[in-house]
Amino acid sequence: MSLIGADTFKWEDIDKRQNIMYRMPRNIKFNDNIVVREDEMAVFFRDGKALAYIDRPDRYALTSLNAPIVGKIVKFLSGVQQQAEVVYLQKRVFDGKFGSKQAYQFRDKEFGMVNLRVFGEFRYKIAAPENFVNQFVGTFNFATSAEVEDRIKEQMVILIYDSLGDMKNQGMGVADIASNLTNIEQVVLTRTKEHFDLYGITIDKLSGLYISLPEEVQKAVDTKSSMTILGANYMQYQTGQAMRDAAVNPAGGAAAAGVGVGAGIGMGWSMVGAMTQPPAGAPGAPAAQPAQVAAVPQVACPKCGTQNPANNKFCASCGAKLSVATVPCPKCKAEVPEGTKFCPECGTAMVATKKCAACGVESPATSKFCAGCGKAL
Amino acid sequence: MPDIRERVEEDQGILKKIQSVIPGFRGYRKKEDLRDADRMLRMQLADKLGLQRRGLEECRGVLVQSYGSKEIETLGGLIFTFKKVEGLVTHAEMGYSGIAADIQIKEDELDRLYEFDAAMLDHITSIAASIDSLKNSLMAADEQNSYKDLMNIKARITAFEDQFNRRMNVIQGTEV
Repeated sequence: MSLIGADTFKWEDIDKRQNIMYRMPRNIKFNDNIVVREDEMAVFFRDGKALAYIDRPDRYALTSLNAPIVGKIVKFLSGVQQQAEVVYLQKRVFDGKFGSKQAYQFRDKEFGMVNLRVFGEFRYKIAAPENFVNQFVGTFNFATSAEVEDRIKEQMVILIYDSLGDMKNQGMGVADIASNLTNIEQVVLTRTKEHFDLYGITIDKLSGLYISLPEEVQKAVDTKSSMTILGANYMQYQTGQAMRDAAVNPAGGAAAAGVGVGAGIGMGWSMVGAMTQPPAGAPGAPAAQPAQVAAVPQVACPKCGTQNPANNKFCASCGAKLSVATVPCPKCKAEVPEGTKFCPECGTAMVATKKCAACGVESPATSKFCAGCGKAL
Repeated sequence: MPDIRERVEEDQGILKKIQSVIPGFRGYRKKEDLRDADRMLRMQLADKLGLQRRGLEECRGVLVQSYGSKEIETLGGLIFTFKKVEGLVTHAEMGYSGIAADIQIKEDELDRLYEFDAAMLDHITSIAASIDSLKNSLMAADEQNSYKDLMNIKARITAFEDQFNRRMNVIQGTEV
């Protein structure tokens, strides 16, 4: 305090912690000096009017009618004293965290209704002291950064939900969220401008955005990606999983029923072949099983008449040899089972014969002697 | 357009008149009156902007009736921007310099500040014309023109804000 009562003020560090603004607890007198640092702004109010927003670091000597002699005379005569005050604001960025209190229901094409929760961090700073100090702090009576952050948090969650909704309308699904987090951050940041400029606040950065899926949906997403990698359908995947579980857990499941570890592993291996087949409906996949059975050619057993697949070598019923040697028909060239006398296609006699010149009896062409008279043919 | 500065000077009460003749108080009184005149002018500017904002809010009402319009979000953002600019105009710096400031704000600078702010009225006239055009487009359900008008209004309010933000540098003669 000087002879004329003026003083020099600064925002003491002890008052600065966690405070985004600070009102000097003293009526400013004539020639009171205030120090504004690099990371601060000061707003000088006189008679309730914001005369100046001082954002350049320096020491400022302020004027008011509260002068040493004149001010006292005026106060003595009229009882009136001018009100002059200083409010400091922090220029630096503040970090805040947000998280949704309630889940957001996201209608997904693949998974149906999914509950989402969002978490993240943001950085903010005062962009326009005019609006911040008069319209935001003045209206809500906030002084600490925590109070300001509380106000921002709710709005941030709403903006993220809003952005997710718009991105969903453009085709983004639940499974795409993780790969679009950076995009979501940028969309939200753009939207914050209009919402927070109004209060003189700028959201500087959005980071650590995390949108959590419910456990069951996360499992389904994981399963789907595993199925895609393996090229298996759901049934194949589930069977394979069950076999693997049985193999690693001999105390339970099918293994406990007597299958045993070895059998479990063996069954697991047998599934590998099935799983490596392209899934039904996929390009290159074989036709469905019933159609496949109908398409296999069948051959009747020459002994018992049972129908057997054409590639079988022995009859499944009597064990007779199924493969029958054929000879071509000398006329139509159709393949005719060996031993058949006439071609089933054209009726031509299949066995070539030659007539005995002595007795006239016909004998097979391969015979060397006549079956009737014994003469050499 | 009436000059508020003259009106403020004419209507000085007895106390203010006494202050004006006291040595050392005269300059203070004169500057204070000029600042008050400028503040009154700015409040009118802000009110006029508020009037235009209400026009936009009417447009929003038209859009809400038809639902699902993609313009509604842009329009909402524009209304927020108007509110922000209204705040900036209402609570703007009044042209003050303390003792031994780097750059002093004297009476002629405060006069120029008043004139600068008065010139901002022209911007509001052009904004009003764009908002009228938007209303017509919305009534005619002309999506293409509605979007064009919205962008036009956005550009005009941004130009208003940019110009307004220059005021202190312009009147101090420190704009580079």
